[in-house]
Order: sequence, then C-alpha cells, then structure tokens
Amino acid sequence: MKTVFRGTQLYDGFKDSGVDISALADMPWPTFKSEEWKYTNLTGLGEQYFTPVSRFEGALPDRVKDLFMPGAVNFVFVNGLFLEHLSETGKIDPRWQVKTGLDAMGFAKSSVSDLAKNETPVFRALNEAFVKDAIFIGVPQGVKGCAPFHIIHLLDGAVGRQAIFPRTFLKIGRGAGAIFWETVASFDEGEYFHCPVVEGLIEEDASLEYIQAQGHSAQAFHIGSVRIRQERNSRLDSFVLTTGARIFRNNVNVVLEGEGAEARVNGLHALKGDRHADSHTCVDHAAPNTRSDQLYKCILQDKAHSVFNGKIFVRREAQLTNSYQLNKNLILSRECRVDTKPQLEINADDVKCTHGATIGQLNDEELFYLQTRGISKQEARQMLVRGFVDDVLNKIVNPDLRAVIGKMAAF
Amino acid sequence: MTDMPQKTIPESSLTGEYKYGFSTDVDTDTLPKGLSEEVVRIISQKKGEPDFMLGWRLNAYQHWLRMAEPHWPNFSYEPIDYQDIRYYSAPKKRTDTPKSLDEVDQEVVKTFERLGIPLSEQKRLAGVAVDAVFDSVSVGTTHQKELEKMGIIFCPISEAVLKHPQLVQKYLGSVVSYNDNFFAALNSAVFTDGSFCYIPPGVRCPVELSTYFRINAKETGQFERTLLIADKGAYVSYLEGCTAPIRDENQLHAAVVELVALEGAEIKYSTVQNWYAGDKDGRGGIFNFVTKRGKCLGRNSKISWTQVEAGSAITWKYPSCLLIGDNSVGEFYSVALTNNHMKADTGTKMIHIGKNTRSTIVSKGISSDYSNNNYRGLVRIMPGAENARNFSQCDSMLIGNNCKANTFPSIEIKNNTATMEHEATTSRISAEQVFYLQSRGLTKEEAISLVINGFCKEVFKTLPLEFAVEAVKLLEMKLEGSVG
Repeated sequence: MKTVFRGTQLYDGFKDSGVDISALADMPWPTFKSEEWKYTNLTGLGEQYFTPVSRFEGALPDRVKDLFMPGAVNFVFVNGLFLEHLSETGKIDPRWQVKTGLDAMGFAKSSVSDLAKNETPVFRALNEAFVKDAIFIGVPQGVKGCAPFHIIHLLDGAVGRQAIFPRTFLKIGRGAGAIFWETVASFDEGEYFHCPVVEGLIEEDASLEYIQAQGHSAQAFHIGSVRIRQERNSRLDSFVLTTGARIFRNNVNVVLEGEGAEARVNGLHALKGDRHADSHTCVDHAAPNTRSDQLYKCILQDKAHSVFNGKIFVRREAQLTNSYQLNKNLILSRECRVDTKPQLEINADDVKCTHGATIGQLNDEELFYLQTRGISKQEARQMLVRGFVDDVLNKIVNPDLRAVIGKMAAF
Repeated sequence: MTDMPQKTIPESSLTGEYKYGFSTDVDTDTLPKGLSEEVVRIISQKKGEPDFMLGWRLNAYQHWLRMAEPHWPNFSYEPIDYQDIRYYSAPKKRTDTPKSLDEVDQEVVKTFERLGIPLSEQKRLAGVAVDAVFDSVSVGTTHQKELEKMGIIFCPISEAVLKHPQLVQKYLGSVVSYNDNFFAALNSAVFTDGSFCYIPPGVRCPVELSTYFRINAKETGQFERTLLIADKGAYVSYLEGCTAPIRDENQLHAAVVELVALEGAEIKYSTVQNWYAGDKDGRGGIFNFVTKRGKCLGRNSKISWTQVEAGSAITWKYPSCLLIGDNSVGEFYSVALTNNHMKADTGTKMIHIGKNTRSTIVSKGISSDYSNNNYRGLVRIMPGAENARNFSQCDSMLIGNNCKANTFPSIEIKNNTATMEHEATTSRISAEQVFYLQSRGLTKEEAISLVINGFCKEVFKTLPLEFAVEAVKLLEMKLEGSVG
C-alpha cells in the first residue's frame, strides 16, 4: 500500500508536469518527530500549492542590475532559469569551463552527490526530478587569480506560485583557486518554493571561497543544500548569510576526504519579523590531519526563530583532527525563539574537538557605559549589535562583498 | 513458585574485574515469567495495596500496552522479550513482614555485608541510614527510629503505601506520570519496591539516606520506584548504589525516581551505579533504562543530581530537573565511564519554567575499549522564565581508537532574558601528562588513573565523602587492564 501524503497538497501542483512522482509519494514527509526537523515545522509547506517552473514570462525588474558586483563575472538566473542576455558571458576567463542548461546536467552524477545521503530524501528527490536549468563551472588545473564568479538568483513571486529547483556544480581542479559568490534575491513579497542544490569538488591543493547571500521574501519557502567534497590539502572558506524566510532551511555538508584538508564554515542569521532560519551543518572528517572551523552567529528581533544544528563527525581513521565550532545567539526582543544543537560524534582518539554555544541579550553594563560617554541608547545598541555581527562578517575577505552583505544584514 | 537454588559463581574466579558478581542462594518467592493484567493484580495483592494503587497500576499497564518501545538512542540492542522476565522475586521471609533484621534471611544480610553495606544497626558509626532492596523487595531499613523522632519518614515504598497513603497518593506519579514513557509505564504497572522518604518542613536530615539495590535472582527484572519529598525548608542528601551478579543474559532494570522539593527545600541525590556490565565480549549485563526526574516546585528550592555511571551493559537515563518555583536551582554532575562493549546514552534535561531559575550541567565522559559513550541533554527556557541562567560543560575523553564519544546537546530558548553557555570538548588522554607521571615513578595505570581522577574531580567533589572514595576506587578498578 502506498503511503498517503497526509495533510499536504504540495504534490498536487507537480502532477501535471509530466514527471513521474510516484517514487516521491513513497518517501516520508518529515515531521517534527524526526530529529532533523524537530524545530522546523514543514506542515505549512506541505499544504502549499506550487507548480514547477517551466519558463519565465514576467517582466524583469531593472533593479536586477543593482545586484551586479563590479569586478566580478555576473550571471543571472530568474526563477532558476538562465538569462543569457543579462549575463556577462564575455567576461569569463577563457580557461574556465562554464556550461548551462542541458550541457551542465551531464555533471549531475558527480561523486559529490553521495553527500546527499545525510539529507532528507524527499527534497533531494524533488530537486533531481524537477531541475530545469543548471550551471557547471570547472576551473582547470593550476588556474587561479581570476575574477570572482557571481551568480544572481532572482526569485520573482509575482508570476504565480512557483517551485524552483536550481542546481550548481563547481569543480576546482588541482592547485587551482576560485572565488564564487551567490546572491539570492526577491524583489517582492511573493510566495515561492526554492529548493536549490550546490555541489562542489575541491581537488588536491585547490582552494575555494564560497559565499552565499540569501535574501528571500518573507513568504518564501527555502530548502537548500550545499555539498562540498575536499581532496588532499584543499581549502574551503564558506559563508552563508540569510535574512530568513517563512521557512528557511539550509544544509551545508562538507566532507574532508583528503589528508590535510581544511574547511571554514561560517554563517550569519539576521532575522526580523516572524522570519525563520534553520542551518544544519555537517563537517565529516574522513581523513587524518584535517581541520575545520565553524562560526555561526544569529541575531534575532521581533518574533524571529533561529535554529542551528552543527555536527562534527570524526571517523576512526581521521586521527589528528582539529575541529572547532561556535554558535552565538543574540536575542533582541521578547518573543524570539532560539534552538541550537551543536553535536560532536567522535570515533578517533587522537583528536581535538571543541564546540560551544551561547545565547544572550545585549549586555546592560556595556549599554550603560556607552551612554555615560554621551552616546544615545539607540546608537549604543546599534554599536553593540554591529560589533556582534562584524566578528563573523570579517571572515569575508573581499571588502566590496563584505559591505554588500553587511548592508543586507543590517539591524 | 520457588526457584531451584541458583548456581553461585565463586568470587575468586573474578580476578578483580567485577567484584560484586556473586549471586546468593536464598529461598525466593517468585512469580512465573510473563506479564499480564493478572501479574499486575498479584503484585498489588502481595503488597496488600489499597484500591487506588491497584487502579493506578492497571491504568499504567493499559497505557503500556498501547505504547511502543522507543529506539532513538545512539546504539542498538537485542529486542527485549517482556514475557520472558519475572516481574516479582523476593527472598522468602520467616514471617510476612520482617520486624527486625534478625528475621531477614541471613544470606541476604551476608550479601549486603559482602557489598559493604552496613545493614545491622550496630554499625551506626557509618552515619548512613540504609534501605536495602534485594531483587524486588526492600529487606531492611536502618536508623528508622532516630529518623522517626524528627518526623522523617524513610521506609520501603510498599510500606509507605500502607502507612502514609495520603502522601503517596498526592506525590506518586506527580513528577513522572504513569504514562510518561514506555519504561516508566512498565515500572508503574509492576514496580515492587523502592524507597520512600519524606522530610517534614524545616528539618535538616542529619544522616545521609541511602538505598542499595541488588539484583540477585535470575531472569528477573528490577522495577523499583523511589519517591523523595522535601517539604518547605527541608534538606536531605540521598545516596543510591547498585550491583548485580554476573550472568550471561541481559537483565532489565527499569526504575523510576521522583523528587519533589517544596519552597526552600534542597535535595541532593547521588548515585554510584555499578550494575554488572557484561564480559569482555559484551555478553550479558544489565540494561539500565531509568527515568529520574526532580521537580523544584517551590520558590528557592534546589535539586542536585550527581551520578557516577560505571556499570550496566547499557545505560540510558537522563536525571532531569523541572525548575518551576522562582529562583529554583537545578544541578547535574555526571561521570560516565564505559569500557569493553558498554554503551551509555546519558545526560540531563533542565526545564526552566520559573523566574530567575538557574541550572548547571557538568558532564564528564570517559570511553575506552569498544565502548560507546554519549552525552545527550536538553536545556529549555520557557517564555515565562525571566532571567534564567544555564551553564553546561560536557567533556569527553577517549582512551584507545575503537571507542566512540558523542555529544548531543539541545538548547531551546523562548525568552530573551535568558543567558546560557554551553561548551564541550573531546580529546585523547594527554600522552604528555601520562609520560610525566611515569617519569616520576608511577606505573602507566597509576598515571592514567590519576589523570582521569583529575578530569573527573569537578564531579567527585560534589559527592558525599564515602561515595567519593568509592567512586575513585571504582574508576580505578574499571580501568584496570583496559589501558593499552
């Protein structure tokens, strides 16, 4: 007997797409009883009606140009579909391999996809079934120092309730280096379901800086995954900013598969109103001598709800692992809610793993001190909040980008 | 219904591995294996319980039937056949209720003497009042008279049901209800004995109260229930110790402990758990699936849990505090040592409900050989808990490359005036420290024992003196031979 998709209509909108979704219906829909979804209620999403996007028909706001980063190669996707005429294809370094659409899909069965096994099967399957457009970026061996690559994902809720399933593949060849930025933006308060997957392979001695800025509409649903596989002596610097959504969930899965690999996984939740953001990170130390460092900061106001679940997994063979994780939460108003679960799973003995979590409000003494120096209370609050946020923003190397993200995260 | 005399394992064959592994030949009054409504009724009848207790047990049994056994801990175990357990086993008494220790089977008294528990009242110098529970029933409680003068009630819970039904009815199940969870429901239906303690208002209990649990009979489960009430302004320090004989099959121990602290009261509850943990290959041992919870009901009340978990094939328990009264305080200090194939999934829950509530969690996990040691905890700050404060620290130490140490802390904050800090570290026993001590003439084992004692010191110092000494010895004994 087939499991009935209880109390949800999400699949109704997918029925006419011509894609066989019978396998999906057999997958359990996550409830709060599952440890992975304990603090993020998906019942609301299950009751929504969305149709998978097929083509973009709306008028493009001119403001999209405002999102372009100077000095970077800017590519534009609207509702998950590539818009070539807006993208700066000419600026790409000729050595880079950039493919979109069906050409990019050829890379769909990459070794990185295995990392999805930690994720909830139903969203993985949805992305695989409905992905319409994809992008593949390959940086060949030894190529580094090129301009940052910037993908702009514009989400337009005005064209109707759409379900959007983008896919990005990154491959950084041996000894190569690349900077990769992704901006997700929505100009209106539309309702949409965004379920992207980003997969990256960092080969031996290569390095990747990956920065994501997620600015969704307050009515949006976002369930996304970032999967990175790292080879010997590779390095990852990642940062995810989110301002939340109605439901926002981001999984970051990093596996340190080669000896000497190093990962920095940072993030910031800047939440207002009744927005929600849930970040799940999993750093899997699968080889000896690997290092990881995580800093996630969350700042909340009004009725916002932040969830952080960070996992450090050390396999038996991963001796001499050095792993650090810190989650700090600053709550600015009464009705906020914070759930945090830093997790350590250690199967090797010669390791050093530390995690910490703090939750608190602005320090009265610090506020008072600033006031005695003639700074208004309002200003003093802003200074302290800024100080809290800067700590993690400063992990972003590029000053232009830091400024843009700082503005998005402003309180 | 009497069992054949059981085979005794000679103590000499144990070579210091588990020195409480002997079993005792005593005539027992035992129910046949299996669980049914009939069994619940018989247990209640044997205890001569009033109707409200029978009704409560039957309710629990009905609920238990509808509940599914939970399987969320970070390990798996062979399925438990609940029909293959004896739910009642008691040493036969010469009269129906032992009036004094002379009437208790001398073998039982000897057993407790071998365990170092002073059952006979002459050993008053020990300064501890003991309630000894042998398999399913309490066999003797010491110091009852002196305690009575102060109004303190300290007796087997089966006696309390008969003598103080109003207290039992008021508080039994008020912290852990009969339908709280699968094992608590099972316990509520079939619990046979345990300790009951009531400290009247303003009384500071002069001696440490203690319960010693012993599983002796084969194929039995031990389901005891402890209920401790500290009335306004009262103070009590309570100790609990446990051992069991070596047997190849797993035995289930599903106890419930309920603590109630009224306004200004303080309860200090210490456990040294040394149930038989199975042999080197992980055969046998006790499944220790226990529900322990305390309620800080009144203002300014305090509950402090200290546990040293060194035994059991599987330990699965979370002594918790419900901080309801304003300014109430919850504390949890734990050392969990696992070796061979032991599995432990333990930690605490601190639920902050009242204003200005504070909690402290200090957990030390040591895992060696092939063992699996997990800390799992929850700190929840409810919307009304203004200015709540929590500090948690969970450290794990690994000895050898086949063991696991995991930490799963959950933190849920619904009030912005809360302040909480959590930190956890996992590391190997420091080779440098061990080398230094060895260079000073200590053997490797002594050195490791010293380093581990230092690691656990924060917890040991919260134990009452006798227990602290015992705990240190216990760790030493457990670690013997496990360090390569």
